[in-house]
Amino acid sequence: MWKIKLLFIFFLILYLIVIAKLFLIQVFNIYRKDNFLYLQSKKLMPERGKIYDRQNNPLVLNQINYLMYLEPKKIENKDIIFKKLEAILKIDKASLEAKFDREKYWIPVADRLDKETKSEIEKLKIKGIGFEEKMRRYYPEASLSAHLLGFVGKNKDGEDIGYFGVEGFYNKELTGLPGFIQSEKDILGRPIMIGLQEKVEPENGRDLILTVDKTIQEIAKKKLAEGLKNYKAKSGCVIVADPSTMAILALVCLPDYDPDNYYLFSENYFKNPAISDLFEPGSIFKPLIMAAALQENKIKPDDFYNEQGPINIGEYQIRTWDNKYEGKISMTRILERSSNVGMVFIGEKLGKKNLLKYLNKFGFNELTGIDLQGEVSGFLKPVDQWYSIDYATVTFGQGIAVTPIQMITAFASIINGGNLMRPYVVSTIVSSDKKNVIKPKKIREIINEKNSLIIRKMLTSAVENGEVSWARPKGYKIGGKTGTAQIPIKGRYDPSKTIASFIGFIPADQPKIIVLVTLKEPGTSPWGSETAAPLFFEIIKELILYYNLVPE
Amino acid sequence: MKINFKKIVGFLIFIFIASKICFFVLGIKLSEEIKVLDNKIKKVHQENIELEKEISFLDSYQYAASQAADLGFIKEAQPIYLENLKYALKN
Repeated sequence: MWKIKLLFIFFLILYLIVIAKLFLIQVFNIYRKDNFLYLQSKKLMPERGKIYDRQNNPLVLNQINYLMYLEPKKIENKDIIFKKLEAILKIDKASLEAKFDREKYWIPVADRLDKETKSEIEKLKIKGIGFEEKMRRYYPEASLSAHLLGFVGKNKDGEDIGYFGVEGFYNKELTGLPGFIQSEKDILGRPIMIGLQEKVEPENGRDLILTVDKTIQEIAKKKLAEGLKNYKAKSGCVIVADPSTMAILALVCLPDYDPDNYYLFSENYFKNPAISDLFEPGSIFKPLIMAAALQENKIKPDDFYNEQGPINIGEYQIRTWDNKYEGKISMTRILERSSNVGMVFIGEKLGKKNLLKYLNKFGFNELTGIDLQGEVSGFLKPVDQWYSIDYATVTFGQGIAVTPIQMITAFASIINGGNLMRPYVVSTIVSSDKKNVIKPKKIREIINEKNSLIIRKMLTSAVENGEVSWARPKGYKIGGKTGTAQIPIKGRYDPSKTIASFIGFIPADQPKIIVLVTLKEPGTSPWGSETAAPLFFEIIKELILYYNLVPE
Repeated sequence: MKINFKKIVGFLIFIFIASKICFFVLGIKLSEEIKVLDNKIKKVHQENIELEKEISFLDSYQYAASQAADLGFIKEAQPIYLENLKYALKN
């Protein structure tokens, strides 16, 4: 009998020990870590895709940052702690004290801390300070491609989301898919092997390889910044593209913003003027109408026009830019001296119906489809709202509003053999298992190869025999056209405020590069020939060196 | 020969208990290893991100420009021409 009693007492003691231990664990939380849960479920966030230029140079990467937080209930002597933190975080003690609230469980104190700062604070071994790991975008080239890339901000749920540019357009591809982990863990946080262990790996965002070349982007930005300063312009854009595919090689508009500190800038800076701002193109529009008239066989390159004086249309009078008239001039000469009256003559030859047909064919009534967020379409009035003066002024690029990207896309179509191409900035989308190469897309044919060749010759002549002789690189054939468009303000044109532009290409025989330069309200001269054109040639000189183009 | 069931059952129970303890200890050891490896992977991933950032910074135009400025390879370093050389020539 005593043996049974002994066994009973032994088991009783054993149970009491187990109960006591459970009591200590469950009631007094011994061993327990701060955020211990028996069944731990966690969303695994994917890493956002990176963005590279065409030479695989990184334009946007990710970096790890830390959010430092306080747990006020665990903090004992806040004054000493704040004094220590003040020196490291460079946040004054008063600000830290203002944030502190003893009633709260969790207070965020400093965001975007790097690894070094985090370890410095950790060395202090202060109870009640914690860190939350965060991923943030890193731009090795700072704001080199701000408008092109866009930035990553937060949506209303506090999740990362891309805004503007590539980040906005390809947000879904860049974001990836979150994973999931569910794990039964023991008291020391180790996974229990025989328990529930479920893990679905996150799918990281896809990387993007752009058509953009970092070096050309740098050249364009540097030259544009110098141009704005030299010509005292308010703003400006430079677009460089391959005219045969419309792959964008560089796209810069100034002023821009710092995508890393986007919240320090007003929203006006975020919009990319190259795709979101409309402007009246002025004389750079003339070659498009010339090409349309050639294609419709309404004019021939060796035709002549008698430039006698101004043309009256209703109550309006159309003059040449210098109010001088040369008499009998060729079609090429009309472009060389940028004759408005000559263009009205060509417009009349082309006819109203054809004029509208070609404006639509060039895509001025639709989006170009460029893969950047924020593109707006140009605006063409309904047919019944077109008056005779509108048909006349549109031939020299006034009375029509287009975006710079529409302008360069349409212009590229008349020099590349006649094909309107969709402009694009992403050439390859790379995921973990495959590469998706984006091919150039032809939208429609506008003119034939023969007429394209004629236009290229006319535009080369326009550069060589134009009204102004520029400091051109010697030995190279360059085609192009200047433009000076007055800015409409409250229904009237202000002659002192212009948008100066130049669009050109090189080599003239087989164009490899097309460049559009626009300057808004240049202060030194209102003319495109004296502001945008010299800037264009400055850029071209650098591109010749970069591409190692040989003189013709 | 009489089979001693009690001894066989006792032996089996002993084997089960021993193997259970063995598996339990191995499980703990394995989960400990998983935890260590998880942390190592996380650390390596963090190091990769840090290194990628550092390499891209060293390869950037921003860094090149700052180095050029430090070393004096900037426009300000161009020669300054003396204009009134005639005085020097006279003397």
